[in-house]
Amino acid sequence: MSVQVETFSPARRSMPLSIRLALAFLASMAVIALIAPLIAPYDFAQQNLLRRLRPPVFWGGDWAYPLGTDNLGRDILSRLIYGVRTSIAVAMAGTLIGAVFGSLLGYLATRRRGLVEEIIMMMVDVQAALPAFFIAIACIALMGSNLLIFIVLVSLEGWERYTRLVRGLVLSQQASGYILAVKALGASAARVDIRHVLPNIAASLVVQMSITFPWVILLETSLSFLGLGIQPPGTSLGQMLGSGRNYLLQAWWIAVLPGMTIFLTTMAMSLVGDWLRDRLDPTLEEPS
Amino acid sequence: MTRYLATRFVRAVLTLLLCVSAAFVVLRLSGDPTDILLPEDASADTRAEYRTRWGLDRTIPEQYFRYLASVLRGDLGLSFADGRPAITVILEAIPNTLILGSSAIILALAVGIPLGILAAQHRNTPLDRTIMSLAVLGFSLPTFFLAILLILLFALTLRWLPSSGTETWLHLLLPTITLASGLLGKTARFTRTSLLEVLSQPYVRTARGKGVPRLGVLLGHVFPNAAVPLLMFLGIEIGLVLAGAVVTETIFAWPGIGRLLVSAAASRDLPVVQAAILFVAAIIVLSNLAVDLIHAMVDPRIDAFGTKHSRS
Repeated sequence: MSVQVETFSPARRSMPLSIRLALAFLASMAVIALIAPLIAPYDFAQQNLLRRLRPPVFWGGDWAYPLGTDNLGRDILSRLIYGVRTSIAVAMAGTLIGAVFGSLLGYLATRRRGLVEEIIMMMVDVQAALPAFFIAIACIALMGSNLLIFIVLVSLEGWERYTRLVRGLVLSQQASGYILAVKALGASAARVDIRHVLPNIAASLVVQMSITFPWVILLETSLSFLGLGIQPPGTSLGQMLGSGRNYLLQAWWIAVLPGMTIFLTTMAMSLVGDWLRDRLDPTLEEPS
Repeated sequence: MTRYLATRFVRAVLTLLLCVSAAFVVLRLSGDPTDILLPEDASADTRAEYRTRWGLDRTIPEQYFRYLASVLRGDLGLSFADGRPAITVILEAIPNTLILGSSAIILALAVGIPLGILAAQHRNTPLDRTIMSLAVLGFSLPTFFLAILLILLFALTLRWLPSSGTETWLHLLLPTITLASGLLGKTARFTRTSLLEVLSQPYVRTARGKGVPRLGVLLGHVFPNAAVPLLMFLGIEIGLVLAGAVVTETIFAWPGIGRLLVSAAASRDLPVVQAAILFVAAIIVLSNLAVDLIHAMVDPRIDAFGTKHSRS
């Protein structure tokens, strides 16, 4: 059994090709999402029943509709562009809300030890037992679905991980020597937490967010796919896939193109997340 | 050991109680329950009868205990769709979900564990890297996308397998593969990691050093120790398998709990939604309890005081 000595050669620390590709893909998705109205060739909701089910260029179609049209004659490329915009915007908002809400709860648990902490950790346990997916379905059944409710629901994905993470990190930071020293110098509790604890746990939070982001995308696309998320006339990648499912025989591209986009986006984000974790915070557990 | 089991059991009961209570709180917070629990066109008489039956004219704590009692009796309200008890509707769908779920888990373990062992034994060879890449692909492909690719290939292009229905065992194939793929990939990766960790333990070196044959080391020392984390991992994954079943059943028109949940949610048939969610929570909590029980049986490090000794 040999022991390999870790060396910090420049080659080891540089970015692997797969990560570069993933980042480039994600950057292009972000740009597409930002400038969607400028690059979409058609209105994504505009129907044209005379031009239904046109194939994409590489499947015998023509350049008027580069990625073909769907069952209502809507341009797939424009719908994809806007679908990426919706899905990324919802997933970003959801990730951010979940991170802030989960972290604040975790922080509250360290400030109010005792009953409040017990209640918060009990909520964490329940959430860990029942996937956010089921809670989201139940809430949609109860309240119906609009964009605001939907964003709040997808933010449920993974909040309990931030709570656990922040609680653990803050407690260990507060027990560390430098915090005791700063406190001894007379710093207030708020100053200690904002100026000293927060910067030291920020890297772990960023890593956790990059790991959670693809899950939020999958939650959003799954719900929209099932018809419980983004409702027409709005569009999202999951919704396109869900409506294209009925036309697989005549027009596979309606479902496969958005499916491929979802797959590549979540895959790229997972690669980047794993890589960030290894680089910034090797102490985080491997998600299984 | 007894105390460990007792705490686990109490915890499981508490978690279930919390889920049921959460359903109660959510239903009461969102206004008049008869508005939600009855169809919009329900008559005043029906509403009055419902109020008396559910005791909505009583105090909140009393309502809560009456609600708990009715849940325990299996009274979860009537489905809006056909007026049958929600529990009956759920019970009809449960066998299908259990068949699909267990065949997917069996497939994932039967293929994933050997692949993980193979990868661990050929660590850092092309074989290992191929298996691990396939594993990552397996759990990165979103369930709905994989399902659509499988239908396109096997049902529509090759016409080998049916894409929906439950008539023969052939109908079970595509949904099972779809549902198993994520768990299979994760199992392969987890088995590999778990084996590699055990292989680096001092007791494995000792066994090898005293001349135990290779297979003997694997069967006698490596597998039993690697099985424990794998068991815990499976307990965690049950919830995700059930979530995957929702999408899988919907796509393949498999009449289980998942498809029922989606159609009930879409038509806002709340009694059925509530019954389905409570069933899912119960399955998850019970399987985690089962994992804890098996864990306590196979892992002698859990001692009489309920504390688990970590190896360090």
